Amino acid sequence: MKKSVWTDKELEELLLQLPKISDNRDPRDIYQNIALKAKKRKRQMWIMPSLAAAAAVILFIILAPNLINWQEPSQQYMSLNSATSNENMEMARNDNTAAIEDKSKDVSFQEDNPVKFEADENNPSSEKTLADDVERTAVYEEDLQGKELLTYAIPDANGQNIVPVSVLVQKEDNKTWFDQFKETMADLKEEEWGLSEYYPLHANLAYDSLKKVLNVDVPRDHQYGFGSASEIMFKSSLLSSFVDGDKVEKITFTTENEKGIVLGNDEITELVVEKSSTPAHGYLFLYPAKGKKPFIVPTPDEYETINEAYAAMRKELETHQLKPSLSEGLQFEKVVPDNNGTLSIFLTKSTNATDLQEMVFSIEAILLTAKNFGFKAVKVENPPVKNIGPFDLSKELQVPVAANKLSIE
Amino acid sequence: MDSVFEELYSKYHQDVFQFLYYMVKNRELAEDLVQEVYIRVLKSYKRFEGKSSEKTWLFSIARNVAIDFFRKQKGWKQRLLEKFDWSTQQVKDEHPIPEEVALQNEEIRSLYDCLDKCSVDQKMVIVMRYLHELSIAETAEALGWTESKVKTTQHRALKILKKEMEQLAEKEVAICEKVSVDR
Repeated sequence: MKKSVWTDKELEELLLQLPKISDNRDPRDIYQNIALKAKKRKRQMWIMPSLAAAAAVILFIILAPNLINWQEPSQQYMSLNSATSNENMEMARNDNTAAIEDKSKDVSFQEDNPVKFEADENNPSSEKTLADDVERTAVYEEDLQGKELLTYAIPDANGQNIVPVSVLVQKEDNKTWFDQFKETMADLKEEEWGLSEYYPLHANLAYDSLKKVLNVDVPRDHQYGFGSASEIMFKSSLLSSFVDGDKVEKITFTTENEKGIVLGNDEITELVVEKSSTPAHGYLFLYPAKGKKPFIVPTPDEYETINEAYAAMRKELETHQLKPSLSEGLQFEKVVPDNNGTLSIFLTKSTNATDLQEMVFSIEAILLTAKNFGFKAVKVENPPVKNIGPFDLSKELQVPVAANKLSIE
Repeated sequence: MDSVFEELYSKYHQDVFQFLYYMVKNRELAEDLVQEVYIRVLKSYKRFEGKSSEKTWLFSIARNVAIDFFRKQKGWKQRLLEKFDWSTQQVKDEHPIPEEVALQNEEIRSLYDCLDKCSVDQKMVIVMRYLHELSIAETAEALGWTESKVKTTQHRALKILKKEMEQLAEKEVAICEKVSVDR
């Protein structure tokens, strides 16, 4: 029978009788457990910060090159902006051909051009910058004397665009165009130019100058068919290497001397280099990671008319990292072709040329596009100034021979 | 083995273990918590200033470990839900009665059960005062309380125990009577 009423004393006595409970484990086991746990904890303390630090370092490595690249174009813009002044224009003009020099005296910039310059005439150091800076990128007829023009289509750093690059080498009598094409392939400095390493091709090239056929013989384990990207790159780089000029009309493929090459999902035996003038590409700017000069790169799409092409050249193509080649300040009133292969471009009155270098590049893009559409020359009407860098706008401008002249020396 | 550990083990291990056992009433849990106590002790042993006795210092750490354990067991969400859910408050989890207790007489067994009706603080005071026979002053030191707080808590705890024991007895009487009437 249980008690129903308790005094404090009785309860306390009962509490004192509660049984002792002991831990029967070996102290050594306990110590081991403790040592293990303590160590684990220490390791955890050390792991988290080091993981975070490693992540930060990786992030930094990934982001650092981008940060550096972002700064470069803006710096270039700054230096060009400060360099653009009346004096500098004059300087640049004097720098060019003698013919222009004769005229330069009667050309008054202040009077007849609506261009708004950010003048800093008190800055003599900028003169030199500009004279050095204003340059053309394409190859022109006058560059060709005694030289062999070799065009290579090289994928850009991301493999998104095919950049046609022109290299001029000294003509050698005992070597054919094709010999020089093959030799120079190994000397290309793709990475230095901000493009991706592509040449020399891992293939044997053979050329029949009579039939104008280039044969590409690849080893059985060639890498060009891995994925559609490398397939497209391989085909279009070959095609666009020969699309200018009349040296190659057909490209045939063999794999270790057997006909055909497996690219991606299908096998091809030959490609025909099409030289029709429409539809044709326009040109956009591709700024490489290194260097200030853009590459003038064909648009991914082709256009039926030159007007469509010029319209497309005003739009940025973010997916391909291509910048517009025609700026807002450069507006066309109309574009008129004539039967002699000359294209007349009428500029609007509001045409505004603040950035001389950029204007030169834009004109080159205009000329190259005109060339793609089969024009021999371009005449610019209503020019804001008579000379833009090396271009004398009072005359017809001959289209360039090829785009993106680069030196391999 | 660490000399500090060896010393502490030989002097206080069973005390600390028993204290934690009575707090959680589960052997495995108590074993884990003892280890936790040692880890904390070994970490801060150098900082032990000797202001208090080693024993009370160890008990205060054991107390913190026990409180941390109870806190961890109940996240704030569960605690909030429990406030609204009256039914769960009645349900106490059934811990198996250890051999040591099972061997004792009926009164002690019911006292062991009734301990659960006290709050954590009250339980701590009861265990320290009656199982470890710490003085009021030592208990106050280990818990970081004033002596008067220890006294009142102890008083309240005893009152609850008394009430619970009486209720338990009444229930049993009622059952016995019922059984006899049925006969």
